[in-house]
Amino acid sequence: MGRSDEQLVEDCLAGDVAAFDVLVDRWQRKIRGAAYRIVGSEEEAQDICQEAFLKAYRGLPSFKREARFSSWLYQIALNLSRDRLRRRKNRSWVSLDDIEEVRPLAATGAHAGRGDDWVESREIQRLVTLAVAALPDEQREVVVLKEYQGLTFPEIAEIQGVPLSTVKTRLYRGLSLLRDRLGRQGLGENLTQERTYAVPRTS
Amino acid sequence: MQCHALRDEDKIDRLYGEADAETARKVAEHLTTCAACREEMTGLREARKHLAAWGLPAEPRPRRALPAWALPAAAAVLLALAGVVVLRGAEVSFDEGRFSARLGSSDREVRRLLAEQEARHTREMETLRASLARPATVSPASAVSLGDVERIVRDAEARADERYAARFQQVTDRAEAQRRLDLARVSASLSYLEGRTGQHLARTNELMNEMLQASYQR
Repeated sequence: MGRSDEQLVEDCLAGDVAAFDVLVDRWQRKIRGAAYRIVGSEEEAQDICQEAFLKAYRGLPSFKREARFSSWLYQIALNLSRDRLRRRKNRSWVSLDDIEEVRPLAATGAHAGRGDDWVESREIQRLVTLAVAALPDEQREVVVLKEYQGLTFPEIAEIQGVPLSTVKTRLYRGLSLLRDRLGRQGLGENLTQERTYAVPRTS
Repeated sequence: MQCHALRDEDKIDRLYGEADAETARKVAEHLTTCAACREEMTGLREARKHLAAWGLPAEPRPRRALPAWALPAAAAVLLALAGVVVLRGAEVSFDEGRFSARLGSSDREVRRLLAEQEARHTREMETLRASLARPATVSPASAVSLGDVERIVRDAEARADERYAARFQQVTDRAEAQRRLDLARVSASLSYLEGRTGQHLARTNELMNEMLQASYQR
């Protein structure tokens, strides 16, 4: 059994710099994944991840022991992600108009056959990516932290600094928006079996 | 129709299986009688299912860190080489755009060294031939391990072949799938263009009719 995060923090503060390497190995994948799903760019996610660990390392002496190290790290990464989004002219990385222009994929008999599953899963992934990107920031954060990071509600509340009920309300609203948007793109429960091409918008 | 009998939090707790006993009972009871809430919960579950489709991009390949001794060792080797070159009277020059190097040793010295090296190699090869000519004395244990090694290698090769075949199949499938997707998109665009062309024709006919009617009236 390896050392706990908190033990590693203590060791690092006592001068064992290698202890911080263990923390980086343990958390960098998750932090980068969360940042990627929030800002929507691999390069920016990588930058955010590196910056978050750098800030964490510098801030270790001021780290309050009553919070989990991972929650503190997520907080730093989320703040950096929000800064990035704020700096962009358009706060989210796609506009709602882009979402509306996404056309569902046809699954007609003529094109059915080997490989269709792969194409369809790619298409679903694209639609889901755009739908998540179009969520309001705080709802997207909760969806990402719960669905993709597997955090508990109290952990998310700690990271976002809001009451538990707020986290659940944000998640409920986020999922409702996703359900509506994905439904409009032909991924709803009732439309899954019947997909047709929408007529492209005239410019 | 929207039902407000349940709180958003209760629905979320139920959706993630984190409701306490009392809430779970309350939600379950309500869902047996409320079709709107049942439908909503199904939709939320479906949205969660689709979220799972979004995978992460491939991990960036980590840069292999050099061991701590690598740089000093490399520097030492370079220094040693430079020392040898200098001590042996070598000369390196760059003249009229041409780079040239000359070893300090004389031709005779170089020939002697080469002859020594060749004689050493010949002796080593003869020794090796003699050892190969002797009947091999392989112990049963080592014979078994050799057989095992051969089997392991064969298995590994077979597994590698299977992996290559599977990978090839996967690449073929992807190419085929992409082709189908492109065809489908082209087809959709053509259908759209056909629709537009039909609209233009209809509009042209309409205009022609109006012009004819106007000319008759005149």
